[in-house]
Amino acid sequence: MTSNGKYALEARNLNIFYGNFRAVRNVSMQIESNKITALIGPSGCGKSTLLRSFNRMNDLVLGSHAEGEILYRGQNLYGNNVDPVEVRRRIGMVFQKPNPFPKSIFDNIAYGPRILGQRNKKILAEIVEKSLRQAALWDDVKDNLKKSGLALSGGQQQRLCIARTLAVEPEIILMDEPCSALDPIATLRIEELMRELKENYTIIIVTHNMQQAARVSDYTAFMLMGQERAGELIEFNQTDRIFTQPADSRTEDYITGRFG
Amino acid sequence: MSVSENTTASTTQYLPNEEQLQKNIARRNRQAKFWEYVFLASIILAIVSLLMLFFSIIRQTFSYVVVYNQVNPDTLADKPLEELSSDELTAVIITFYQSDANDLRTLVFNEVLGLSSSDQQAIRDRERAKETVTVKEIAGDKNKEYPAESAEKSIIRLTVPEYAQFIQLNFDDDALYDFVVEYVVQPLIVGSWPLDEYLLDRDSIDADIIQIEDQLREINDDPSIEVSEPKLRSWLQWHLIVDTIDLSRPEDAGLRTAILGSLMMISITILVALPLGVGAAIYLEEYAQGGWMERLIQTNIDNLAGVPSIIYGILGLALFVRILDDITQGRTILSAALTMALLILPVIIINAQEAIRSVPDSLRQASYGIGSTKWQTVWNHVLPNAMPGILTGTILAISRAFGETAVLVVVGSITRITVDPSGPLSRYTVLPLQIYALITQPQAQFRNVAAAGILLLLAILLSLNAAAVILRNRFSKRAV
Ligand SMILES: Nc1ncnc2c1ncn2[C@@H]1O[C@H](COP(=O)(O)OP(=O)(O)OP(=O)(O)O)[C@@H](O)[C@H]1O
Ligand SMILES: [Mg+2]
Repeated sequence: MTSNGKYALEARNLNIFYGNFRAVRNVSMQIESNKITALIGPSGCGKSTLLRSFNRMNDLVLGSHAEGEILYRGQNLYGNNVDPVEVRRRIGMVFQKPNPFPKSIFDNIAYGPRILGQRNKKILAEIVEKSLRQAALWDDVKDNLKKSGLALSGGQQQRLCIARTLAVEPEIILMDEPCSALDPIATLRIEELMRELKENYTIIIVTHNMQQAARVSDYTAFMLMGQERAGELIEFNQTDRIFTQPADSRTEDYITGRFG
Repeated sequence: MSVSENTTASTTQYLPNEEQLQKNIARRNRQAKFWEYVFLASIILAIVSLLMLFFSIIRQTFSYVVVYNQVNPDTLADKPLEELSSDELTAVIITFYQSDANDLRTLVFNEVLGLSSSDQQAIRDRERAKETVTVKEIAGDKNKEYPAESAEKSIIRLTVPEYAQFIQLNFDDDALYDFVVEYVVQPLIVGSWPLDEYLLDRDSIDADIIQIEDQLREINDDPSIEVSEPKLRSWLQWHLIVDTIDLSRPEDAGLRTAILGSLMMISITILVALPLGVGAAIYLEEYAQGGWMERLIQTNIDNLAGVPSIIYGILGLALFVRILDDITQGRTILSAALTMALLILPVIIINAQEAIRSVPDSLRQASYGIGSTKWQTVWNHVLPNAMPGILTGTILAISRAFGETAVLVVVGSITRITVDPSGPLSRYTVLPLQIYALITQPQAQFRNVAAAGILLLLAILLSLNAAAVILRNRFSKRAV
């Protein structure tokens, strides 16, 4: 089905601009299916920008545009006849700060399927249960689906957001520092969840936590601000290679905490 | 303490020394206290002026009045009126209206049969065409009793006793007594004093009363005339809501036409301004890409909110009353409502924009992130969460429109109208203008009616706003 083989996404010479400012320069990388890919790098190097371009969320920023290609199933996401609404359903996103809708837990998850046209109550209930189970939240909330999503703890809210993303059956899930607002235990639970989810989904995660990248990811991309403050991809490889024998000295410096 | 001394001792002195610091803190605290008192004082000032405003309305709404009976009830019968039987009261009516069958007929038409002026005109027209409009027909039509012996007679040609009998048949004892008081004794309020004046300055009022009595005696050439003792009267009465305006008798003046006019105008204004305003706000906040056109529009809207209302009046006159005359029919409620909608549109837009802007971006991202379209994001997430703020702005706008007068003077409201507005294309008056008309009447008692009218205006405004607040709270609850 995917013409570029085992790759879920492939960026080719991707440049992303905010107005005249180039935030990401010339990134080319291939994201393997059913793997977790981590994006690491110092603050402001364009990790979030790159991540958001993978499902065209960056279009929402006034004055931003992208040059180059992102291939998904052999099609350029930035091509002319591509509908960003459809892209975002297939490539879902989980944000840094948990952002449930101010609605009940049930409605939070059923919202996506509903706007896609699923009106059947029974099927919606099944989707809600399945998504919550996948997100390891079902046991916490099964007796209380009418409760507001905002009444959950931070970690539960983030899992609710993940369940909400799963409910529209995406192929790829983008996560931008999903654990930065959570305590260590909630963080470990999300990491565990990510390992389970990669059976069925491709995950790309931005993180500032080196241990987290080392613990969960299969591949790691290291980015750094280059000339004119534009973010560049310095090194992209299997995670254990990046962390044990980085090819670039800047990667080593960053990982060992010598700068950044 | 010792720690800080150690550290300050070892480093350069960047901050003032301890003594100066203490002084500085004391000064800053004094400053804070000073402003606290200033703010407290301004709140107290606001409350006091509000109370004074309220008091000045209340003292006029409830006033002490003296009444002069145009016909002395003692001369009508040998017993006090209250003790007369139904037959005796009827006799009083007959004696009083002996030579005025026409007046009594009008009273029967208005008070007993409740015929509208067009009904009465129809009867007169038929009679002029030599037709006999029988008592049986008209009274039967209105489900009223009538004397059997006059059933086949013309309703406009009965004698005084026959009309009186007609009244007696349809009124119970209390109603008949009220009728006699109102149309035979004809009490007239000849003096009215605000509540506080009566309570605090009785002497000057007594002097006023003597003067009033002297004047009445002189005018009527009757030295026996006396006015009643001062009585407390509430001018806020039911008839204020159900009667139409009567600029000859303050006791009978009602504001029905104006209330209906105001409500009708405000409803159309909201129907036009709310969707337009919210739509414009959504466009400017969610769709606009920040081009020069949009910035121009935004600047214009911001400035329009501060334009004096009279200018909107002139615009409304030119645009809706004159140019769009074919649609609005000139000086109608529709013209007024459309002008008013223009007037409050900037207020609604600005408040709605503010409300939409305050919806956190994370919510929009959440919605887009699972593949919602722009419209779904706006309609399902942004609008419901912005609704409380939008309604707050609407409340402000409605209050402004409801109390507005200058605009309506220009676009042609009429104050002496007694016909209820029947639809958007009828002529009209509104409460604030009617109140203004009352205040400018020479008779002092109209000021009491005006005060009661102001209370009514406030009450209607408060209920409109309460409705909006309830709606808003429902939305806020849903949003959480
Ligand atoms: N909405 C925006 N408009 C303009 N410039 C932006 C916008 N968002 C990000 N930038 C700029 O793009 C560059 C990359 O930002 P980005 O948020 O992608 O960095 P990041 O690597 O995610 O940083 P952090 O680790 O702090 O989240 C920065 O220089 C930033 O100032
Ligand atoms: Mg970031």
